[in-house]
Amino acid sequence: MMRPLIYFVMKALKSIKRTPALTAATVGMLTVIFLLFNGFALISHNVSTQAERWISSVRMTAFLENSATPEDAQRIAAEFTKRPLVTGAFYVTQQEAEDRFLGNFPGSKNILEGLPKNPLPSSLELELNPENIDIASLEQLASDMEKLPEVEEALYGRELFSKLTAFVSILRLMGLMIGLALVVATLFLTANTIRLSLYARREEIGILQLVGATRWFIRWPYLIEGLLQGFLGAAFSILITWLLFRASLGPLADVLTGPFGQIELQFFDPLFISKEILAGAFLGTLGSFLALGRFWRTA
Amino acid sequence: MIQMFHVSKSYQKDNPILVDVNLNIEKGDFVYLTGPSGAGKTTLLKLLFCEIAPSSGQVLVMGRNVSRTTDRTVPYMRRKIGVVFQNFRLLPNRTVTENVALALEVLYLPQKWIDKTVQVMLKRVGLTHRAKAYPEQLSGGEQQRVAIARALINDPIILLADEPTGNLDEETTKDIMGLFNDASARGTTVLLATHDPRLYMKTGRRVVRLENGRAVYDSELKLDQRTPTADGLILGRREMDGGRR
Repeated sequence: MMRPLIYFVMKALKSIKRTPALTAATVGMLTVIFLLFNGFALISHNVSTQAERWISSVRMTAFLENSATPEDAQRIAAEFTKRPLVTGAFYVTQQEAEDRFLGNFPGSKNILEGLPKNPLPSSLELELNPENIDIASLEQLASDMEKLPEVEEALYGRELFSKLTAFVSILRLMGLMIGLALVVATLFLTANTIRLSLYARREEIGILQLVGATRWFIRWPYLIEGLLQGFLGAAFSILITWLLFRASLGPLADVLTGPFGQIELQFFDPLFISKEILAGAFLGTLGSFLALGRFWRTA
Repeated sequence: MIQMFHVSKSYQKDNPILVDVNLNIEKGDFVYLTGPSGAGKTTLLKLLFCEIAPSSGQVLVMGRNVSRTTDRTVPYMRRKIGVVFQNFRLLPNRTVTENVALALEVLYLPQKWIDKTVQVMLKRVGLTHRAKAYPEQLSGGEQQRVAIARALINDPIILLADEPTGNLDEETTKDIMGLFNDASARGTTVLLATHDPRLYMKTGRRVVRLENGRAVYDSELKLDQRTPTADGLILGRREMDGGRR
């Protein structure tokens, strides 16, 4: 098994050597296509990560009626922590709410002192399971809480949450579309290169067939050639993306320091890189296979 | 070894290339297939190495029906059939050794074994000193020897040759014919297509003549339906009768 494999790899390498300009052009174009994909994927990956981090940190606050007692709060907490969405519940008394308010807005002490009694309501803060968070379950939870006579209002940042989840969905959809375009472009490019190569070596293929070469014997070097082109295109694009990423980290550091602290940009993880290179190799091979199929039909 | 029963072949309607050809060639025979250009010689050879299928009739090669071969089985049949063409069909970017080795490479044989066998074959066709040359550096005769070496290196059961001396001078033709005779002496069945009567006259070998796609003459079957033409290629009665002895 090894000997034929080595033979086919050598044949593929010889073929690449015989048409270096064509191979370089194909690998170059594949690199550009993968680079475009990488650029989008990197931005999408970082924005999604930030958005998901926020989404997973969503908490729900149920503001209680003034008539609600700590026992009521304890009962409600016990009931709702049974749900898979809720991982914990914390009772915040009116006094604690006032302390927090004054902690956040120290200059507002006079406002509270001018009032006959503490206007801030007691509340229940629910910690949520990030894996089960979605807009429908949050809405359901808020609605169920608001049905209780002890609960005045349940809030979780509905509008921002909806916008963020919609944004992440759009990013994913765009990623999918760009991914599909990448697949089509890669197939088209490798298929065309291999087709040109096949027609250039029509005579050689004819002679190989004459002396009893099977179709697979003829196919293998071309499939390996396509595989190598796809592999190199994807690998070079990763390398260039990494170099550009490293180079842009410094200039972007200031821009990415926002009110919530420094946003840490992430490069693709090793699993993504492996998958992309494998996808490149696979698409290159598939492109070759398609070109060969067409060649047999027209030869 | 080769049997054809009522074989016809046409690429276009109303323009048959072969018409109702019957032929039986036994193992080890050396047969000349002759006839003017366009008589159907090349088409008949193409049928035998499974490049095309007959429009009607049956072609049996080594006991296998050509019409029933598939893309998968054809390569295995071709490994037992050597083919030589008038235009040599060598790969210009490969050396003599590499061109000859091609027929062994498809069998996944060890490289050492291939190198050794190619050396022996080049010695047999007298090209040892040209092993590293490229086809364009060779004379026509040398190129044809490379093509014959490639066709014979697998020890084929059948050797088909389509006008193998068509581009060669008389002296070189003699040398090349010597190689075909040598192959025949080793037991290979040879079918050689030519329009040159000098090749088969006085050889005492079997001659089959095609005219307008029909087998009009077979020295072995005493068949003679030839039309007298002015091409000067038709054999006399004496040669016909003195066919295969």
